[in-house]
Amino acid sequence: MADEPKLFVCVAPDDLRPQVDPLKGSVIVDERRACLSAPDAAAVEHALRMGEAWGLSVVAVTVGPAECDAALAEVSALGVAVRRVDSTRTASPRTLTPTELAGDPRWVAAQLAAQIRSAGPAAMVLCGDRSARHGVGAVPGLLAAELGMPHALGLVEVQVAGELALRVDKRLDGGWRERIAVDCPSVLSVEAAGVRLRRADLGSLVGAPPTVAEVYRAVDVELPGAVEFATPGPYRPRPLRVEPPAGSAHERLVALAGGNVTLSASRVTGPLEAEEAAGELIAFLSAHGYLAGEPGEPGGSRQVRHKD
Amino acid sequence: MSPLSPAGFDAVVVGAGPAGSAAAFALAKAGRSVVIVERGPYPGSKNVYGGVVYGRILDQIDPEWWQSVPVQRWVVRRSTMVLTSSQSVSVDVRSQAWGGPPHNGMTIYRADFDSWLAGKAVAQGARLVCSTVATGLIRDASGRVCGVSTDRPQGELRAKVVIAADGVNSFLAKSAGLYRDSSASHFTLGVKEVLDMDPEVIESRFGLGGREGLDIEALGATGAIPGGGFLYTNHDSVSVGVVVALDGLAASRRRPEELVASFKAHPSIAPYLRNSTLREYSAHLIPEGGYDTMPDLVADGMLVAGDAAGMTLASGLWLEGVNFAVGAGLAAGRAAAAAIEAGDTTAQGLAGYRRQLEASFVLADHMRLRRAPALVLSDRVQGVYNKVLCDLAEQLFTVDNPAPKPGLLTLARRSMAKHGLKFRHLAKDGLEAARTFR
Ligand SMILES: Cc1cc2nc3c(=O)[nH]c(=O)nc-3n(C[C@H](O)[C@H](O)[C@H](O)COP(=O)(O)OP(=O)(O)OC[C@H]3O[C@@H](n4cnc5c(N)ncnc54)[C@H](O)[C@@H]3O)c2cc1C
Repeated sequence: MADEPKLFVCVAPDDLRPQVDPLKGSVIVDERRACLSAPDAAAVEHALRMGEAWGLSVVAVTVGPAECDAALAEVSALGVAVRRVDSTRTASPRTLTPTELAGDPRWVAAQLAAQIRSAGPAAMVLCGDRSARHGVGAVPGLLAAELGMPHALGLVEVQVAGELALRVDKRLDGGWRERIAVDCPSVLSVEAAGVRLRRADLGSLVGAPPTVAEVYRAVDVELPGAVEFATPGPYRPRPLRVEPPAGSAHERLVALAGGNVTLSASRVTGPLEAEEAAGELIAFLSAHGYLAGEPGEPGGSRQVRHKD
Repeated sequence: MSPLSPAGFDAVVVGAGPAGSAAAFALAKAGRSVVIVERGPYPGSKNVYGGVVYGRILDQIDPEWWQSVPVQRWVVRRSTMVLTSSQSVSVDVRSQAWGGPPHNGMTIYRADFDSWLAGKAVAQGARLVCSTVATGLIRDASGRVCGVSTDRPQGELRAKVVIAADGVNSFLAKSAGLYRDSSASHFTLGVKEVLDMDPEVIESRFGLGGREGLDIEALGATGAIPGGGFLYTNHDSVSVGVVVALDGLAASRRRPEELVASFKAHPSIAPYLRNSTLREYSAHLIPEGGYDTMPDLVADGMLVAGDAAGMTLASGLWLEGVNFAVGAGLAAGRAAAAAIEAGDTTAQGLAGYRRQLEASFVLADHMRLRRAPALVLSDRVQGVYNKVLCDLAEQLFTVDNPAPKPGLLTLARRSMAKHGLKFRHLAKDGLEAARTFR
């Protein structure tokens, strides 16, 4: 049904173990090895779960070469319709040009958005939080902007909370989590956490037609002020200036041997009741700075803050 | 072609190596429905070998295979080296004829070759399912093999014939009880490094032109452990490694990578490898026991082909497995198709497989050279003849003036005596060699 809302999941099958030339620093990929990255696989699994809960069909969209089709066959065997925007490449394995290596997330987002618009309407758009190839997680954000949808990123847990409503946990710095309610339609970037993509059953794989993806040509996109990439060189860390050590050799030896440190004598308390013993331990740990501090600081306790 | 349905196929082939893809090709060509189950993400992704394929058997798959095969280099130089720790004697054969169709050997990467060959089977209509491990055989009430189970959900595949092409140490052939004896002495371990090297350096260093390649096989390269070494040129890399007897390796308590390192450091090999960088390291078992250690090839509903049936030919002068696997796979596919056609896939109905193998090079060569593995891996061939030959050659070409040149027989006697080789040993081994390679 063309007008029925669908769940879209954007994936980028890629060679997850490219070779890096140790001398030239160039990256050599073999796209025959292309498979879903862990975040993409998590996005597909979340989409399948939402599809089951809401009775919606799932469509996978990708921009990639024909070598992706083997990885997409697995996705298709899970009952997902697959659309691939063909990005023609030369034979595999091959050395990536600097521009290819960095890619242009705006171009990719525009292609994905065009596919979603033409196959939509979208109930929800899921993406892995970043692609394996130099990904910084820009595509989902740009895609949300293209589609005019809100964007929730860094999601480590996604739960169906009702009809077309989700409750998601978002990663914050310092071990914090934020729980937010998400309405449809939105773009979600999910991390590879908490779920594992189910395996396609053999019957669906064997019974699938040899070509699983509907292949589309890329749409023309204008990208003003595209970033130019220089050829990457081998990694050369900047020389680090190391200050000469302070003090004489003798002083340093004494310091190393712990000669200047005043040691506190051990103290025997007890035998004590359990409560008193725990109090002693806590007092000791506090006195030595182990229990002080804010969450995220060394020694700080980690808590979960819920915002909903 | 019969319809593809998980309920039942004409044949299931386990393994998309050379044997499996060739078998699937033959079945699909005969109009049979066939599924290949491969554990790797794509054919060849997990496969290890030295690097030279002898391609003439591919005439039966594509008469002009050399036009499309993803070759690295066409071997025009074949060098057999005999080594001691500080000496070497080489027989170097060069033929420009090998550089043109139909060629002789080619260096090729397995990821490329296996994908190419599986592509031929798929183009004929075979179904390829990757990232799927066959975990066991399914039998019917009479005990006949009628399918395989896999590690996927609802992962049973039923078929009239199962072809086990799952490589060395075949789990399926063992499950079917086809191996009577699989002692470690029937296996060798192949260890290999791929080293990056500029194509121009390869060409100047090894005396090669454009797409020409070199194949060096070395005897005496593995110290006290029975085995051999090899060096093959690819387009922009060289493959270098050793093949060693498994029991000898275990007894020596040496690590396989040490053996490759000492082969690479040999004075006859090291200059070839100067300034190269390591790209890849791999190791794999090879079934080198030969004809006498092969399992039964046929069971009710099942055939075994390629390394799964111990079909690598390792006779000292040759290390050939891929062409044997392709030959065996084609025969298995044809025999299975004929048995399905005749409606009899019992061991008796599938017996045509063995007859085809005997009529082809696969078993003919193995039967003729059945004594070769024992001879080649024997203590004297591995540890004495190389020294005798190298000393003899060294003395022959040493000019020791003012002493006059000694006669060849004197030198031979001297060299034999130095290494404890008696004339009766020579006669015995000569006779054995004549019988083996007649
Ligand atoms: C170091 C080394 C050097 C060699 N050098 C040469 C050489 O130069 N020239 C030459 O001709 N031969 C050489 N050989 C031998 C050659 O590699 C083998 O003879 C040949 O690969 C056998 O082909 P095959 O199809 O029988 O098995 P394989 O090539 O081993 O293929 C078996 C396939 O089955 C798959 N498989 C296994 N188990 C399962 C399962 N349970 N479920 C699903 N799939 C499964 C594997 O992933 C694999 O793809 C060498 C071998 C080694 C190890």
